[in-house]
Amino acid sequence: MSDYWGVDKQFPLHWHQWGDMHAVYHPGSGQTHIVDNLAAHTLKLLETEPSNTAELVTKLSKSLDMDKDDDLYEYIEKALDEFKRLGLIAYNKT
Amino acid sequence: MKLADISKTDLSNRLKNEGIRLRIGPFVILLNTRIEALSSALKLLYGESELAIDGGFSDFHISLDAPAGLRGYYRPQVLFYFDGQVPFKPLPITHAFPLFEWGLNWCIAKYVHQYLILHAAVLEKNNRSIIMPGPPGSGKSTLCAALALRGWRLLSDEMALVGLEDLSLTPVTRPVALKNESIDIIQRFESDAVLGPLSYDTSKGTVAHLQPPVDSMSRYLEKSGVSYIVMPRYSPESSNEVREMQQSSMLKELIRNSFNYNILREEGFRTACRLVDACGCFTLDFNNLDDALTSMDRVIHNSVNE
Repeated sequence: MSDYWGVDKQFPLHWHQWGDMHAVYHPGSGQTHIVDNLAAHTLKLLETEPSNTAELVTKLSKSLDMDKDDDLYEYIEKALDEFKRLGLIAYNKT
Repeated sequence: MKLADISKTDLSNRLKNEGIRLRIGPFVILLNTRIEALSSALKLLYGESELAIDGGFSDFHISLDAPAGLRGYYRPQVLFYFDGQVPFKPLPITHAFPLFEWGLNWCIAKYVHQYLILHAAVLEKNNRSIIMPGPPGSGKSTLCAALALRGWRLLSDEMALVGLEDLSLTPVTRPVALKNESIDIIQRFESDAVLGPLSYDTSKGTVAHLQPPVDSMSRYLEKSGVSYIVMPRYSPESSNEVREMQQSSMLKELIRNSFNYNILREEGFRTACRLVDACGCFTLDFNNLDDALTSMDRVIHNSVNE
């Protein structure tokens, strides 16, 4: 069993995009965050379907059309930590 | 009927008894006071405001008066009453007019949520409006006063009321609050500028208010469309420069300078994003008013990059 993370369906995110920057409003916290394209894409993957770290790395590597590597794994771990810190994603035990 | 049409004695009597119903933008304020200096300041600074007919609905019931008892004789104070409640600590009675202004700001920010409210000046020229958000010290009010004194229509010095549906700007035209060295700067900038009484040693230093232009006051019900958002940044060391601002950065500034974004929640987010979409977004660094006015003209003439 591994940790699954996703966007809490109780608090669907609201998005707005300007070029390669995205504003995301989280109704749960009432906070608005500005994220870049890659972070927005990663968060939207979790919004579509809860994932664990390994699954997310696989999905993102497909999106980026590249092989999985340590750098991507590290990016995902950091992104998940940041999303958790901001309350944008919640733990989904499966 | 305008406030200026009432004699000084009649105004004083009405303020002490039934009160006056002052139209300020879309609001009607029922105001009472026994403080003669406040009555005089109102006549000077709100003289061009329309009075609402008696007996109608008032949005805010406000009175300012001295506390009862001996304190009326020793270092007299003034209290701000809103619907009979006292939301603030008393201030020296010489701060009565600034207290009225600050109290009214508080009333609007706390209770008016049919708009996205930004801490911003709003001005218009040639049917193009500029929202100028800015924290204290940014030079917002000084620049706002200078623009108003050079023929720009003043919609507000302190609050941008942005329509949630149509993004229209509702005027809430009131005197421009000037602080400390800004008072001298504006007096030197325009010797005919009419300023109200100086209030010394307030929480913001010395404060005086600029009488709004007559034309701006007379258009108190005329909404405006939005065209630009400009973040002014005064610094004696800076050169005068207008730069385009990234839209996502402007969104952050609007949120930082909003009174009710958190209350409006998703609606606030949507409105703020649409507002950024609808506007040209700029920063204006300036170190003198003449150059800043030239820059503002370049903004509304779409010639920033020329």
